[in-house]
Amino acid sequence: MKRNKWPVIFATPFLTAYGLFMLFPMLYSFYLSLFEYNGIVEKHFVGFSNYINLFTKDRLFLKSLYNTVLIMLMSLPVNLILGLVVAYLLFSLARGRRVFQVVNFLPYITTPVAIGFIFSYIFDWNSGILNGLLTYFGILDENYFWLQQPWSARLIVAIMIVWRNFGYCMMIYLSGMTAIDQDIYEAAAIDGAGKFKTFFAIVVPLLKNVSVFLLITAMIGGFQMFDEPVQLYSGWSAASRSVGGPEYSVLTVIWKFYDDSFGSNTRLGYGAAIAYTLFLIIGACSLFSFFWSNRKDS
Amino acid sequence: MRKKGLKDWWIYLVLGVISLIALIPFYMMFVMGTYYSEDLFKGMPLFVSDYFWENLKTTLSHGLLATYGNSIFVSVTAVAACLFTSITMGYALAKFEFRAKKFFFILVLTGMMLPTQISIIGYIMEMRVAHLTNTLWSVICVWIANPFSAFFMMQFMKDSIPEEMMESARIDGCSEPGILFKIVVPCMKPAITTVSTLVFLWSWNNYLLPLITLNKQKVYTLPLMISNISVSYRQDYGAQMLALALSTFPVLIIFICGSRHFVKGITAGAVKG
Amino acid sequence: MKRKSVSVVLATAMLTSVLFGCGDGSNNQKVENSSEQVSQENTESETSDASVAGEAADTTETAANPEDLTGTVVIWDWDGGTQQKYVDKFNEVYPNVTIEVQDVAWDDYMTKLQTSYVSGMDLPDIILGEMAWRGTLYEMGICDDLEEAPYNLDRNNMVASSVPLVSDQNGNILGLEMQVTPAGFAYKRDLAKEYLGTDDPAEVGAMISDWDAFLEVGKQVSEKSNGKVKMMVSLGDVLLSTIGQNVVDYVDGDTVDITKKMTKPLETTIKMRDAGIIGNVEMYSASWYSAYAADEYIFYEAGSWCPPLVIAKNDTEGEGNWAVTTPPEGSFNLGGTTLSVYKDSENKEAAWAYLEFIYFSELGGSYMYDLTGNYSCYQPYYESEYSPMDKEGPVDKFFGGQSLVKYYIEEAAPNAKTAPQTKYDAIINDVFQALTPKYMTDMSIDTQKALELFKEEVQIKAPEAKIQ
Repeated sequence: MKRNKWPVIFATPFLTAYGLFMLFPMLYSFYLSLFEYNGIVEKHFVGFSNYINLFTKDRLFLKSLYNTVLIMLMSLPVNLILGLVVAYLLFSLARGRRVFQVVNFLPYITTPVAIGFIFSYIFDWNSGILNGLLTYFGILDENYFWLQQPWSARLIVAIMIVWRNFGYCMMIYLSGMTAIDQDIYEAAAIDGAGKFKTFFAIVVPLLKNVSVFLLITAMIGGFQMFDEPVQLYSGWSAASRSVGGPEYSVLTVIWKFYDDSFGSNTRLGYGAAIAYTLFLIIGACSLFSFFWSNRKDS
Repeated sequence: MRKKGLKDWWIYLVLGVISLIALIPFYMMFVMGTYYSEDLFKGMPLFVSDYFWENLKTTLSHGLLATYGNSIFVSVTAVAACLFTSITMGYALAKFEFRAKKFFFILVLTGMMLPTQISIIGYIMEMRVAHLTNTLWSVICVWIANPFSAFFMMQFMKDSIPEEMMESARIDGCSEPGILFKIVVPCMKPAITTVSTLVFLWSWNNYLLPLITLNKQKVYTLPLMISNISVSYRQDYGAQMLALALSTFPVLIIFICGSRHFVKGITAGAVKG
Repeated sequence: MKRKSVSVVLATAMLTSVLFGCGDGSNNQKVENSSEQVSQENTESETSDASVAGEAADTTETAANPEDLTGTVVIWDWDGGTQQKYVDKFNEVYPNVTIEVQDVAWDDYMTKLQTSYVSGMDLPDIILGEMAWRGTLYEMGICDDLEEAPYNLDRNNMVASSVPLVSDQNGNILGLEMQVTPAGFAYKRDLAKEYLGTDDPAEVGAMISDWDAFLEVGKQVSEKSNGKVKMMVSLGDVLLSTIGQNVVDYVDGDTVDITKKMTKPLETTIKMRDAGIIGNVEMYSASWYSAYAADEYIFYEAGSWCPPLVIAKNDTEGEGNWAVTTPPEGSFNLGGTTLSVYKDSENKEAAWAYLEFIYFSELGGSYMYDLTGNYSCYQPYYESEYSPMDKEGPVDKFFGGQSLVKYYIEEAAPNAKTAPQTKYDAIINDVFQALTPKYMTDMSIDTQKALELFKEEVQIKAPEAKIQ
């Protein structure tokens, strides 16, 4: 532990690349966020007014934040619970575990564009499978416009997120269960505890660390939600095209950032301010959940 | 715990239903790839159709093979570079005490929390100055320092590489890099598999960056090429779906091969999160 | 083999020079100019003629001989296959200019262009300006004025209705049109016969002479077919047509008069919706494209590029069953793409040589017509011996033998009102797409409400504008 040059030497490759390809561009973006700049007209310094305008003048920023949090609330708990339950069921299987593992992980490796296309296809108003089935069985009298109603649009995005990510949660829980000492399960079985009891009394409490990790990383990922709504509402795979979906109901913060910086506009300074504001929110939320879970420990 | 018999049939049923739901869109992607684009909207594409070869021809004529090669080069190089930097960084953070440690750690954490798209303008400007635009390196460099991977490696080493192992190697006169690469790295297969799969997947699907830095067909990556299959007034969804389906193979293979390690890998990095 | 190809090139060059030289003798500078670029033997005498003709002289000083012109020209295009066909023709005459056609997906075009520009990446020498973003592109200030050197385009040679469409707010010409794009309403002959009693373009056109007549016809069709057959596929089709027809001057600095621009179109659209004569398919969705093959809709909005590129491709079994006629209240401009030269291009001469050769010459016009069925925006072409007016176009047969070029060039183009594009046109286009589904589904929205929604959306997309 005294050879102090070594850790620095070991850290050098990462830090060099980090400094070059992340830190510098990040700082440059911060610098830009202090300017009114669209890449065409000469940039001029505006201080923090981009940040202030976000909250005072922009009619979509708070809405995009609201949408992001809302869709996250709709999807994240389902993801974690579903992941945990499926992992537990899988874990108690005698055979066929690998197959189920791989199958349930497939959505995570499916290209986002394909997911967007398939979901547009399922929920399309005219040719969609869902409307076809619902009207065929007489549940609906006429086709429902799933993708053009704000709430159903949000719901569909949440479903996409759950569908894509629950396999990932499952894998992590599954490995957590593998790591728990096998004797505990045996003891529980000898005491006559059923599957449900074992689950709530042993598995859930013991996996708390895994849950916290998943919660925090899923939250970071959730705030950066982008692929799912975008694939549903823009690009070649989308059925109905519009930035933000019906009434901007699925406009997420990163989508807004993207649209302002590289899409409808090239307001790069303003876009950078959006991204930095989001970064602060993510940081605050992560810190909060981190301390919150640690306090409960002690 | 594991009683035999059909008592667990309901578990199989529940899992079967869930797996089916997980499988349907994936399956549809493959099936849609065998359809003539316009036929896709005439009914439910539940079964394989007869347009596979035509769609395959379309994708091949758009340079499927060459772009496949490009994408593989990008992802493999990105994974290799990322593994190297994240293992060394993780090692430094996990197994040494030094003054700047906290600062380094905060840098890694910050990197994890920052929206990745934020730095794209500055990054592209750098690539331009370095004359790397229009080369695959412009899409690779961004993966060299991946904070998630470094964090993951750090956690893994903290949890599963015992100090004693390193101490005894030191006593044997092993150099520090020797300890890392000859003793520590061989114990890290699960973590290496995990990081490789994830970074491979992420770099494989990357779209925005190559869209802007690559201006020549011969350096296009798969996602770019796929979005270019359709010409302006006729969307060739069939061929595009086929290309998408074909593009999932490498990741699928990596995942299936590494799935045993993968499970262990994620836990070790995760539990102490 | 090699000798053969050289002789082919020579022959082509000679042929073109002869044809140009002995043309109809029009005293047109551009024609002479082109002839110099392709001729070999006549260079000297022609040049002296040209210098008498004035400004043409400096256009040609670098390119007296096509083979002397070198350089690499990059084009970003989403339909590279078609562009490549033109490039091959061009290279027969200009063997030493390399034209690189770069595929860029339509959806990504502006994102890629703007982001590349901002981060200092190389832009293509030739930039495409599709209708959906042309206003934005022209306001970026990255396209050269084509009336200046080294291009020296003469606007009198351009089809009149195209001139405003390729101009910026100050009237500078920043691009060439890929094709003249007046609109018509295409229709299915069998449905027209069954429900309108005739499939003759003139008679059908007369039946729907204005939107009120259109509405009445729609009601009758609806009655006859028990509501099965609709007049058009999507409400978006109606709205887009009426926006195109309502050519007004609505932008004044930062003041944008949406009321002036949108009231009439929205009024018509809502009326059509309330009458229930329009299908409820989302525009540009997959079902919208497949609706070309369905037999439930009579009329389809059809810009001049639609017959070959959209209709024939999406209704593969519809040969002979189509026709095109004048839309209610006359033709308008629909879509279209311009080609501009990047201001910092290092190959401006070569880029212009290509653009002029294909898109702004008599011979180029005939290549376009033969290869794709597009109509050049070069006016003298229609009076030259290459004139397509009596030639059968590639999809005329598909349209039951109707001469599409006669409709589009003689009837539609002279009557299509056009205006320069601003970035607000691009915004209106976005808003129109975002709101149409809402108009379509929410029957409680009347014209007033529709207009308010529209204004709100424009304001969100253009925070700096004063919306009226």
